[in-house]
This record gives sequence, C-alpha cells and structure tokens, in this order.
Amino acid sequence: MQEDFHYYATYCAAFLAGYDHRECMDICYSAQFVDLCSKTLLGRIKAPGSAATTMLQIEMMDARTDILGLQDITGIWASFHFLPRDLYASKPHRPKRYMNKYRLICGHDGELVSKTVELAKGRSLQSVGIAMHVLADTWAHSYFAGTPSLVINNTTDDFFEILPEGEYPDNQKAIKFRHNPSAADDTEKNIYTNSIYQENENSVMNLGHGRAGHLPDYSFIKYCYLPAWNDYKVMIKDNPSDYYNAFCQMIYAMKYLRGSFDSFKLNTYDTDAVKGHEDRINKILKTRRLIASDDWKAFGEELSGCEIDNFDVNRYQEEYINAPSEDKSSTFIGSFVDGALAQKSMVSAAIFRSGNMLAGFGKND
Amino acid sequence: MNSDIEVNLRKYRTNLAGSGTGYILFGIWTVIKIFMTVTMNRSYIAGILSDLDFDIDKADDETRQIAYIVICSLLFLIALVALLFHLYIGMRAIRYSSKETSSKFFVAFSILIMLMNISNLPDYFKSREEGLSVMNDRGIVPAVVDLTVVFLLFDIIYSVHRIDSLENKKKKIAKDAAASGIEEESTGD
Repeated sequence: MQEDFHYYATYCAAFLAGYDHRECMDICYSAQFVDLCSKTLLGRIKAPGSAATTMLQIEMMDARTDILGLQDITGIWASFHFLPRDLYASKPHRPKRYMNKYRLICGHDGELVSKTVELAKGRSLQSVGIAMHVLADTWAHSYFAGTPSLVINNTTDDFFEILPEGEYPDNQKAIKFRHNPSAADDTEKNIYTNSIYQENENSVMNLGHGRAGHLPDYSFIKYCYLPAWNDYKVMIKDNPSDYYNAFCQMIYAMKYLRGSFDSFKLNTYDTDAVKGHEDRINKILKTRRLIASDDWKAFGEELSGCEIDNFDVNRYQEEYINAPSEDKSSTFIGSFVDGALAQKSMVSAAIFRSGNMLAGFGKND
Repeated sequence: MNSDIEVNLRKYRTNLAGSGTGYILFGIWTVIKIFMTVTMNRSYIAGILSDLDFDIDKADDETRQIAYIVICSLLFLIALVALLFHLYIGMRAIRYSSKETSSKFFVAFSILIMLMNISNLPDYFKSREEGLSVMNDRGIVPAVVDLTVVFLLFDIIYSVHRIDSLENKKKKIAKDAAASGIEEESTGD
C-alpha cells in the first residue's frame, strides 16, 4: 500500500474507531513511517539499525543474499510488509527448502495478524500505527512472500484487468508491463512497470510483489494473474474489495486496542462504523488513479474537522537526536523504535518456532 | 478459469514452450560442438579424409587445402541443417503452445528424430575401450545429453497430444452446455 492508505486512510479509520485528532495523527504518522524507517535513516539519527522497518532500493542493491543476508531481508519484510498467513501450511511432494518459503506467503486474517494487533494492546500509539500498517499490508500484499524467492514470487507476464461486463471480451483487458522505473504507470493504456525476470532463486529482484509491479498497491484495480506457487491456477485480486475490508478491519482492530472489545477476532470487519460513508469510501477506492491521498485527506478532515498535516519524514528526528540517551525511549521515534523491535521480535520468533530459519533465530516470548 | 481442464492446459502449454526452448538451445549446442570439433581437433578432418580413401600425406598443398575446405564446408552445412531442424521443431512447439499456429507437422519430425536418437542410445552401452561409451569416462556426458534430447522430444510430443485431447474435451463440454441450454429454452416455451 501507499501513503494514501497508510497515512490518510489510517487517520480516517483511527478517527472512526474513536481516537481524537492528535492520537489519529500519531497513529497514521507511525503507520506511514514504517515505509520509510530504513537503516540509513536510523543511522543518521543514531537510532538502533535493528529497528529498521524497511529497506531502501540502494540498501537492497547492496544486500547480501547469503543465509545471513536473506535472514536480514526476510526479518524486515516478513515482519512489516508481508506478514505470513500460515506458518504451518502444507503442500504435498515439496521439499523443506520450498516449504520454508511457501509458508511465508502473506495473507490476511492469519494467526500472526491477531498476534500483531494483540502485541500493540497497552502500548504506545506508535505501536498501534505499526500494527495498522502491518494489518493493511496483509490485504494488499496477499499471495506474495517477504523473502527473495523465484519459485514463490515469480509470475507469468499474463496479467489481465477484470472490468465490468460488456467492455471487453471475457471482461478482461490485458495489462502490459515494461521495465522502466522512471516512467509513471499509465492507467489509461494499462501499461505498468514491473521488475525484470531474474532466474536466481535468491535475487532481491524476486522479493515481494516486484513481478506484479505496483498493482497490489493500487486500490482501484481488480486483476487476475498466474503466480508461480499456485500450480497453474489463476489468482484473482480484487483490490477495491480488499482495501475496503482492510479499512473496516483497521477500525475493528483499533476499537479493540482502545478497549471496546475484550478480544480481537479474525475475519471481523467493522462495517457498522462506516455506515453512511460506504459510497464515499468506495468512490475513493475505485477512482482510477495512481494515488488517492487528496480524497482520503479531504474525507479525514471532514470527519474530524481538523487539518491533517502532510507527512514529513523529518518531523520527529530533531526531537530524537537532541534527547539525552535515557530519555530517547520517550520520544516519538523512540516509541516507534520500541514498537518496531517488539513486532520484529515477535514475528521472527514465530517463524523460528515453526522450524523455519529464513528469519534467523528468534527469542522465545 | 481454474477448472481441471484449464489448469492442465496451462501446464502442458508451459511444458511445450519450455521443451521447445530447450530443443532450440540443444540445436545451438550442436553447432558449437561441430565448430569446436572442426577447429580444435585437427586429426578429425584427416580421419574423415582417410575414411574416404584420400591419402592426405601424398597430396600437394593445394589439393590438401581444397580437401579441408570441402570437408569443413560440408560439416558446417550439416551443422546448419541440424540447427534448422532444431529451430523448426522448437519454434513450432513454442508457437503451438501460445496458440499462434495449429499445424502439428513438427510433431512428425519430432517423432522421427526421437526414434533416431533412441536407436543410437544402445551404442553407449557397448563395452569399448575407445570411443564413446558409458563404460569409459568419455561416454557419460554425451549419453546424458542424448537422453535429455530424447526426453525433450518426448515431452514435446506428449504435451501436444495432451493439449489436443484437453481442447477437444473443452469443446465437447461447451457444445453439451450449449445444447442443454437450447433444450431448456425449448421445454420452457
């Protein structure tokens, strides 16, 4: 997902869950900061690099892909952007090496989603924001794994957008891919950028949804494609529906975190909270454009009556740099770092306990 | 979209495209092999000439050069023909897999070449002190290569057969569905 959903839509969901404007800002800032908190940024402000929640392109280019490098990559991406759905999934006639990667396939409403949300209970708003980012990404990034793997994350070039009846034969329009990262995706001509095919199993180009380009991050598109892991079966990805469910599930999760419910149940989406706003939300999700920040922002400002500041990655850095060592944890970024370390530790430990070494050794809870 | 027929069709089309590509690569390898043999194994051409009862030691320089040129040209021509065969079969297989053509004539060539390769395989298992045999070190790799070629050709033939039978099944199901739809309409009237 992109800034429009992680920042502005999370603000809207937090407000509908009952948080006030200031709390919503802290939550949505943290949710978006997950996409920017790299080792480079943390190094600049002298924060612990192990709390990194993302990797920059340049960091990925330099990343090693030996076992230690793969563990580093997987520990970040599986913990924050591609939360595994079922660490104990089974598939017949596959060796352990394949199953280790297969079990890291991301999906919504897995056991780790409830652990992520429960981990944020009683913790800072920054932890809530991190949990919302992770939860939202389980919807957008479904069917891809947060580890470099050709046999899991590769796809064929046959992507088709599914359109309303009557417009195209079989209601499908072919999507064309090109490998030009500097050119913007063209929604009118259905031309998008994706990563180049790399035959090396552990190449970083085979991490996550690179082969599908940014399609998983566009809320308007419903499409079908052939993932490498699905034994020649076509997968349909309905982003408008998934994003709507993600929004409603975020509201439910944040109500639980505020204490409205005793427990967090999977497959539960608070559609009552969006009553009266469904058409507005669906319109935002289905409008054909690359990013919907303006519309989500307008919606959020209407809900709260307050202005939502644009996201500024530098906002809290001075506070952290200038704070004495013993007070760093109580700064905004310090709380974020604590939340990120807890999330990463929880997910890595869960992966390790399942007998999978791809995220390294995990501490027992 | 994910019925058994559709899933298997995708699988066999992918197999066919993969085997076709592999067969083209083997064609390129055949050309490289002939080129390497001609250029790096000087006694090879002399051996061919002596098999043709041409005494190369007694010939003058000009005659020797002409003989070498003729033999090399023939060998490269054979390599070219072999490459063209591989390209024809491989590219037809790829085009058939992507539904760009419905002609299956390449399957006949595939069967012929596969049978020729199979008939040569027993030679690898004869016990010989010299020459290519799995009984000595020099024969194992060529034997494996030839077995792989046989496998590729078999995969091409089998995949085409399976694609055909699945397509026929799909058409039959569509026809039956259309017929039962027409029957329902007529009984409803």
